[in-house]
Amino acid sequence: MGNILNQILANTTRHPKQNYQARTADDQFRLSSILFCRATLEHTRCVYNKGVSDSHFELWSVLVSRALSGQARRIYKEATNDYFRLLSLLVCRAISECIRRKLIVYEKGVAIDRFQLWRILICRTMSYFIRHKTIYEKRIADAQFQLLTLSICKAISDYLCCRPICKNEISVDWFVNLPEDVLRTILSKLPLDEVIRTGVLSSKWRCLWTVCPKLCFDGITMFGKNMHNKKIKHSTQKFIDNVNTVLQQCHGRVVEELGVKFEFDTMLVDHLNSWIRFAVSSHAKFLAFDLKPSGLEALSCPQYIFPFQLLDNSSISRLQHIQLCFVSVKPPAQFSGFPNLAKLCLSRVHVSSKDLHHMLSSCCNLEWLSIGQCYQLGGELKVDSPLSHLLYLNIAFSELTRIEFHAVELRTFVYEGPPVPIHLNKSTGLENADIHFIGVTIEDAVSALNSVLINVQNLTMKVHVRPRKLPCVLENSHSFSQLKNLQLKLLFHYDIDSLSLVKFLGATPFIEKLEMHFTSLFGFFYVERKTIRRFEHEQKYLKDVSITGFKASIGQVELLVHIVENTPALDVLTIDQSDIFRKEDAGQEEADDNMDERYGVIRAYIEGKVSPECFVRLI
Amino acid sequence: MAATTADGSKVVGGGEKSNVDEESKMITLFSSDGERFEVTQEAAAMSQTIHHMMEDGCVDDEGVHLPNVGSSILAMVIEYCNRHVASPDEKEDIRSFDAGFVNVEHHTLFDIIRAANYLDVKELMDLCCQTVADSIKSKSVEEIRELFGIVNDFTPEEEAEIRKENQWAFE
Repeated sequence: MGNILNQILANTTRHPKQNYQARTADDQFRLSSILFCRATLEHTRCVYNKGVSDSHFELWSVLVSRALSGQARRIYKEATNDYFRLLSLLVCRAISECIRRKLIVYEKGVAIDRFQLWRILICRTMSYFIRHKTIYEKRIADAQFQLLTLSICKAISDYLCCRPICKNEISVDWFVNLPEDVLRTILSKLPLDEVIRTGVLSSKWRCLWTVCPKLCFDGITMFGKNMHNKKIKHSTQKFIDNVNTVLQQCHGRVVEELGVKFEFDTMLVDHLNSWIRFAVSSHAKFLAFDLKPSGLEALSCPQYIFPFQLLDNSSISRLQHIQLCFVSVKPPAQFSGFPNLAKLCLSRVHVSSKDLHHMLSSCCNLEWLSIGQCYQLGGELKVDSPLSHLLYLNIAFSELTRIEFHAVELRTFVYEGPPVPIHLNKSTGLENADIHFIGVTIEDAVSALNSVLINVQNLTMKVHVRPRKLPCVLENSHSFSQLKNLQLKLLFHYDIDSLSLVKFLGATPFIEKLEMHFTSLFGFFYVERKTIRRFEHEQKYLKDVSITGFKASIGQVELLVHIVENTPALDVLTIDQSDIFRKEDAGQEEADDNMDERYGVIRAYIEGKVSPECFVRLI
Repeated sequence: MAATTADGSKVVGGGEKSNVDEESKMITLFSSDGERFEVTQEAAAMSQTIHHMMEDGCVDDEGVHLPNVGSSILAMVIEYCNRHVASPDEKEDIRSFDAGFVNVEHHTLFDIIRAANYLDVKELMDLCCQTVADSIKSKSVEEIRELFGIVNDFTPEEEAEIRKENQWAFE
């Protein structure tokens, strides 16, 4: 230890100022540093509290002051002075803090803030001594003092590093010594590039990251930082090389998830297959391939054919989650489904309805199914065999004429597309539905959903409403007795169809919360009208109503009046004039001059009909 | 809340000890250094390890010995379990409790992880692993080294080689 200190001190003597040389050769100085280090080691965590009264530190402070007093002779006598106590205290504090935080200060320590502070404090106190004035600012610029403190820090931290701090101290390698499954859990929560970066931390970490169970390669994050436009096709080869390098390093490991997201390029085909082979050999449970190209190519027929032939029986039964986008799926004739598949997401997948039926029928453990933009699917999607674990079903834009599932545990159904008959008769537990119909009247929408909505409690319905040709019949043939929360997003051509809405509300006698968002293609117009139609149907439980896009058109006023006149339990009524659809599209709605006039109209109609307890908000 | 009873054992957890009814049946846990902890069966069942032991009838009147878990860490794990069985629906409160719970020094966090792994308390494991992952996330290599006290024992050439291997990850 002494040698190291000597070396460091010897280095500092290269400094031009000669005075310092004299001191560096001073045995007392060396001795003091040695004693200080020793004392620090022995007292580790207790340094702070005990340090001041400890005899070792007193000795140290005496020796340091002696050494420094080469120039100012008076100082030694003042060794017991408070200033030195303060100095020792501060230094002990700084060091014990570092020890407590287990900072390895060897390389970096001298540059980090805490040690700077320490240096400043030392300089300050020393300068107090030697000149008895506050020449702190001047001293700080003095290279000698900087060097002095620097070498003290370096020497001490050197010593601390070379010897174990304390027998009971936890080795700094505890991260590395964590059980492997814990390490895998932690790494799986980080993005892949950060996982790989841990390889450079130290030699023990070099191969640690390869236990990461989640290998997801995303072209955009891999190259996105260097790319300004989305055209990354010419970096396909680079992507392939990067993925292959990583997979090679993870060879032999058990991987849980393999994901690839890159715009399709014919160059990828062979490599995608070899990556699937890797997934099979590393026992992957989750496979995600997203090959969607940007632009119009996304509408073309996918060229990558999912290689069922590469899957052996054990991998077929191992797969729990499959996500495919822009892939062609043609299972072989004898393929009998994925027995343990829990989650299946197909988007822009080229598959025939017969193959899809067959596959879905044999995936008896399916819990989550999502089919979207599978344009050439066509025909019926009728899955007869019971999918008794299915909880979530999402179907969007797949040119289907009819949907039928036998799923007794289904909780959530999401649909987007033209209104088609949907039969989920066995799904008596269906609580949540999110439906987006395009080009239909409200009555037809409700009819299509008749069997679906029987037991639904929370319904979100977005409809691009087609103008009605025939007059609407007010009597209801439906009753949605479980519906409690209703959210409607309605896009009309002209004015809202208040009659249909009133009829719909009539079919939901137990509704508690109603949220309606209106917009019109050709705009809502306020027209003053003395008499309006009135309907009567009590909504006994309706407590919370909110309407947006309210422009006081005739239909809207009729609806509003119907609501306020027929809701005895109304607690909260919110009427917002802004059109949220336009806000979503354009970001900002155009300035509206008639807002105040409309407020007046609204108030006029509400007055006297709303109970005093009801909280009315006009935005 | 911890109260010391007459025989010096610590009673940690909700429920009154005096009335032993079905819901608040207590079970004794012993840490590695012999300290006693009383917990409700419900809270103890959050640990799959203990839960299986209870199911298999391996828990006698004496209690369960946990030779791999120290008393201070066991107290913390029990605190977590008690809080989570007490009111599992108050999401906001639980979230702020969790945030405060993991605000500890790293070596304590790692001890908790080890204990949670041994006791198989899935939510606690997830929470702590997420905390560790978050502390690593978005940090530079140097910062991570400083955080965990890792000494860089690579030569500059070795380090350059590693960086070059997966260059894209270091950009």
